[in-house]
Amino acid sequence: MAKKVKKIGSQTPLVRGLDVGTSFIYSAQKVGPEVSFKSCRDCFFDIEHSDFIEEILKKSNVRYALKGERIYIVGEEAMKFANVFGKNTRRPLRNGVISPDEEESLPVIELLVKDTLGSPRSNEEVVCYSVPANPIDVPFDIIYHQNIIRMFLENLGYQAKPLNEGLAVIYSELARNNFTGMGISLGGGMTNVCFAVMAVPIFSFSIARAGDWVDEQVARVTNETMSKITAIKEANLNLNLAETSTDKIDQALYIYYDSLIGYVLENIKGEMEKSPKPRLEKPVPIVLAGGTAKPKGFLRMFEESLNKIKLPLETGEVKVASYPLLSVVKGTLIAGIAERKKST
Amino acid sequence: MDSELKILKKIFEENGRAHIESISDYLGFGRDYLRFLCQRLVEKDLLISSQRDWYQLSKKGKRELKLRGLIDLRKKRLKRHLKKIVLPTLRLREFPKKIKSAPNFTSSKNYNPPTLKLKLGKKIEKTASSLTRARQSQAKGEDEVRTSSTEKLRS
Repeated sequence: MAKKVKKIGSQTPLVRGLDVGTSFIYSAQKVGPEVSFKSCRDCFFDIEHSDFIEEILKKSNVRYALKGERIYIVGEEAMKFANVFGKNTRRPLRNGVISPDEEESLPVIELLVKDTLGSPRSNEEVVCYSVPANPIDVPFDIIYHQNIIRMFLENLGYQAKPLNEGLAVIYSELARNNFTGMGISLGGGMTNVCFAVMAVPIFSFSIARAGDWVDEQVARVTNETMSKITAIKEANLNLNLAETSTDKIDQALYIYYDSLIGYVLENIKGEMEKSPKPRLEKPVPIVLAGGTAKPKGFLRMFEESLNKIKLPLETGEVKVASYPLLSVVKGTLIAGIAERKKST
Repeated sequence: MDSELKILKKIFEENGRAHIESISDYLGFGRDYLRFLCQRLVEKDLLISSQRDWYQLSKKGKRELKLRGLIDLRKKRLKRHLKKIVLPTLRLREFPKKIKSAPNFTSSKNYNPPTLKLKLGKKIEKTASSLTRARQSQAKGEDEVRTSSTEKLRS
């Protein structure tokens, strides 16, 4: 049996990548020439239990959990239910870390991680998971979050290794630049920034403002639910058109996206000024990843703001990751494979 | 006695108001986890949180302790003028290995999350190899710097 495990291990490294984000949880696994990505929306919605509803959910292949007299609909369907009821979904993660406001956050995250990742193929399988950097604009740390996720993964039977989210973006997108540059992951709850030279992080930090902040502000000024704004934003937001749009939601989205970019760049400038400045031969490339960087026109808005702000280091090419939503999980998988190679 | 009752008892012993750090010292839990527990007690109206990281025992909380026979309110009176000042100390605590998740959380079975397959295997393998090389050369460089500096020191 042990011989068989060793054989599988020599063909495909027993490694998985995991991105535990505020909006989505992604997992990645290399299977021969392909990489298989699985995703789950990181939210839930609870309704009163009845046998009839449970039967419908079972038939519709909806992921749910039961506790007491409530049914907890988990994942993508939770969003649909929330929009039907005109309410907001409940989120197990807030600002990139486990939400202290949600009593059910721990079992829901455990369930989602289990769904996305599956069982390990051997007891030596490594999972490299993303963690945010310490935030600079809110008074909390990531110790609790990092340890809880590690505990879930170890309970599933994996060897868990944390990786900074911004660094994961660099691993994923800046191989041609010898892993030198700046990775910015604009997710749901947080914006993670990491500046690395030859795969060594010089500084990394996170900001508790990202897609959710935009949704929250837009929902407030337009008197809509956050879930509805999220659905509109994810469906077909084009920031190039939103700038001149007469629709109030589009206009608000443009305004808050612009504000978010300005806030992120101000913080990057501040941190760069505090950190040691390495002498680099080439300008620093910047990669943008995450769902918030996905809409059309985001890159143009970012470049315009970057030209106005002038960072202490000369910046080079700015690009959006080839698969913005999968960039972090790709980075964690790369880190895991590299770790495995190093140890063998 | 469970953790929540221990928190209530500790706050009572601190004359009805305590900082999270002193509770952390007493229970040996990390501050984030304690914040989570205290927040739950606040929601149950057993504690009052008027200031960040400071928790005060509510009337309901005192009654709860009394009902469980953990305290005798007649014997121990709250002496506010003799309140002990406990200065919070900055210490990193080891995280508890196991936390009980909510009971009766049974889930539906046979669920397959949406899967996307991309032909990125070779590219990822190549990137991982160059990452290993970059890390190794970095480590080698650091070793060289370390050796040269020790040689300099020796000379």
